[in-house]
Amino acid sequence: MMKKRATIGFLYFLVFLSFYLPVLYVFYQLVLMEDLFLKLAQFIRSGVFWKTLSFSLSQAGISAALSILLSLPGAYFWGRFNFRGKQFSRSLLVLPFMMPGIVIVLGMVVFYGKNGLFNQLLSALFSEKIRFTGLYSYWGIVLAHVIYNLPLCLRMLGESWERIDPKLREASINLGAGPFFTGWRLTLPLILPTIVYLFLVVFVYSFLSFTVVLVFGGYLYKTFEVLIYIEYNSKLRFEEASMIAGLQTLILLFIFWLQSLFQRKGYAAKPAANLPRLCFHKNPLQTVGFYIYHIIILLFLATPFLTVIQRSFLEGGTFGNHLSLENYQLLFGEGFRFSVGASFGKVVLTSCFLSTAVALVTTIVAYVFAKDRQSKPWGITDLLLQLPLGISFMSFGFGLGSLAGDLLPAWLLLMWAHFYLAFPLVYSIMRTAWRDFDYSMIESSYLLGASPRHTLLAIEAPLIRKAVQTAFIYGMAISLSDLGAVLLLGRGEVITISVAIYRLIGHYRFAQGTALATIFMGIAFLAFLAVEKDWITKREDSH
Amino acid sequence: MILKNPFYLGFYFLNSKEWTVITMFSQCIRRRLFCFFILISLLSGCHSTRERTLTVYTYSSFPVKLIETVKEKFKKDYQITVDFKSFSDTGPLFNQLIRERKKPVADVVIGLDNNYFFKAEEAGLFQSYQPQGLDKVPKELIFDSQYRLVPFDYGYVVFNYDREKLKNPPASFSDLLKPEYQGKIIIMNPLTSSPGQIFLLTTVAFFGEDGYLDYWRKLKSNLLTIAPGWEEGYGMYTSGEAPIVLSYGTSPVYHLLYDNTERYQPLVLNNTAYAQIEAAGIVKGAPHLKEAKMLMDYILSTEFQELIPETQFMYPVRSDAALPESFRVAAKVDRLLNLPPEQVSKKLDKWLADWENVINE
Repeated sequence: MMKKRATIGFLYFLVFLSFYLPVLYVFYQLVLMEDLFLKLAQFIRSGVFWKTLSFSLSQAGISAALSILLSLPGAYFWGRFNFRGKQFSRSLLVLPFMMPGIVIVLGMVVFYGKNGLFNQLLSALFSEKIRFTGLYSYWGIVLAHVIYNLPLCLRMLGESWERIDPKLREASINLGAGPFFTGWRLTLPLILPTIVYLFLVVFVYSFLSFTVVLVFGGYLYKTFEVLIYIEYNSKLRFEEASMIAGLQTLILLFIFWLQSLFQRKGYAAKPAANLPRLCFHKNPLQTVGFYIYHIIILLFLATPFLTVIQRSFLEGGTFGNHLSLENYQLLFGEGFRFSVGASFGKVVLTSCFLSTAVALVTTIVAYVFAKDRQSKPWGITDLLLQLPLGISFMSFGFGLGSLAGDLLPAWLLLMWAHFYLAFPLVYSIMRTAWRDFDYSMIESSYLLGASPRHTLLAIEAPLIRKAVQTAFIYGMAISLSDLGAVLLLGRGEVITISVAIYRLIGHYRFAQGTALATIFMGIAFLAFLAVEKDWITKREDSH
Repeated sequence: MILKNPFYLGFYFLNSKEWTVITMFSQCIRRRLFCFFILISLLSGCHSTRERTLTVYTYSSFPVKLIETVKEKFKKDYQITVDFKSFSDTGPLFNQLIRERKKPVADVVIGLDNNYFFKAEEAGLFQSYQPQGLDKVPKELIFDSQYRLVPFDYGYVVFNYDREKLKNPPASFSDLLKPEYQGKIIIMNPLTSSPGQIFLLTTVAFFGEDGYLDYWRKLKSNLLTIAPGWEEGYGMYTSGEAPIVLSYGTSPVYHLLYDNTERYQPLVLNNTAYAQIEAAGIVKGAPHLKEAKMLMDYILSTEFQELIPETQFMYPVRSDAALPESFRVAAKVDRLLNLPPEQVSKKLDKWLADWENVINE
């Protein structure tokens, strides 16, 4: 037992080391700065700081609130009913999360832009005068953040809802409580920790947003991440960049701490019981609501991505041209290698290998930690494991590059960086699942004489399977979506699909970029489906 | 309560239960860290140094075709292995050079442009060398009279327009302010993108230090957006979101070659433009000086220079290098607007800051 504790202790030590050594290296240089406090005071007094702070806080808050509010009705359907294609759609929901920023931006422009499909639709339905012009504004930024984050919220909230034991609800109804009272006093408190956590995640992602803010905010809005980038990349003032990064971390630390107050001990969740199938005869109201909700979501949130797919099948990627597979054929030609730097096959294999390895390592470590901390309340360790979410990747990447850039091969540096990027989310998925896990079942299993192996396969695996799959998939998605780490640490040796998309667009091969983005979504989708397939338990008959 | 409070870091790690753990793993750490580092050093074992190698730093979008040509040529003709290391952008590349100043790793740097010249000179990063063929390079392109950074290609940063969407393209900087172009122009942010920065310099050069901010005050309302990078801005332009975009004078060449269309045209305002001049140089204290000089000679050879137009989509600096037919659609410029590098390096930060203030007004 002690030996096991020591091994886990060592693992904690390694993980903390891998997270904080590069970051401390950067902040240590900051302490060496002579007039740090003078500069800090100057910066805090400046209008830029307050403007950036108020913009970041408000847009991130609104984006997070909207993402959660809009995903709640969906989560209800996903958490309470089974419907055809649920498994399929579950994997589909991860796709927006792994798209590089530029694909989201171009997708949004084509749909919501000045000459976009949405405006064409409006003028066809109503009149020429009714136009949507809000894309290049504060609300355009919020819209993009919601599009990016809502699927994540929908999936996680839905899963959290699924874990609620239906018996509790039945008991509540039997005791005479109405559906609203049950929802308010039973369901809401049970999913509240997930809501709070998702709020935090969306908040932090929006707070750290870069491309979207610059493209749609025009020149009026900036986040701290933009300031850091400008200091580091264009003004070449490394110390100022670290100073702003440090300040940003402090602000987010405060927000993480607020969030940790809402974390509480979970309740013993029962294995997701067979959910009733949604059908019109039994639940007419819900069925209608289900369709209305999903049609709206599909129209407003998925269309930007669908336009990207559509363009990939048009000659030259231009609307109005006829259908062709040319863009796909060109991916296999020499031109691809000349603009991207590696062949198509190599790029795809690199991405697959890297993301699978990252997801595997991250999920295993997160699993061990979450299991280890199952009975403990949310504490400082959890906070430290979450904090990388709020530390500017630019600082971490720079610290890592300076510390180990010359020692380690590029692919190892990248795995390190992706581990850092993916771990907080993966860990919190595992942590929530283990927190809600009824440990007494494992104890009973041992008491009844089952072997550890049998207990793992028969009790632990089926109960925790869904969370492991979700964690694994988001680990993969984060690794796949990353652009910054590969550019910063890959030294041009490692080229992933995201980078290839960027480079194709950079070499005027826009149509091929959309084709690659489509293949990217396809591969990822298949991988997610494979991971989410129910490999362990026998499929129950569904009808 | 203590556990929930993040500021009690010390107390948490020192609680009695964890103490035993700490003592246990302090024994493990040494053994395992050792194994870990052995593993790492095995994995990076491919770092062995050969006799004749040459290390070149460049930015990540430097054409693969050119890199491969250099590699093959040097391997075949001189048995020299050329190792290219690419950086996400010229900024990080420059930072790396500064960090390695005392013990240089790179021999040659390819791709720093004229605007880095003064920063590089201040830091004393490069050594003087006059490659063969320098006499064929026009004087106006040579920005370093001591030949530490030697130009190898150049291009103009100008507007482009979509002929099918815009019937009356503007002809001058003042035309661009007309209300008919409102919301039809995409530029890039000078703080995050190099074409954006060069456009800012263009306005400084054209309107003078006293006039450029006024111009920006008026231009601001006509802009659709200020994109963070060229990729985003140009992608929006080809998606049909705006008919005018800031880009390069050679952008139309791409569309002619790959899409077989002349729909996208260069837009040279007032027949003038600012040139981005890309240079290469030998790092001071380069480990392989002789080989580095050979590479510099090769970069200025007609063989390499004539590869530049359709790979890097820039003009070769050698006046005797032949241009391909496709370059007929590239921008034609009567007068170069370039500011002296010294002035740029001294004033750029101030111009950027002033620009930011005007934009945020």
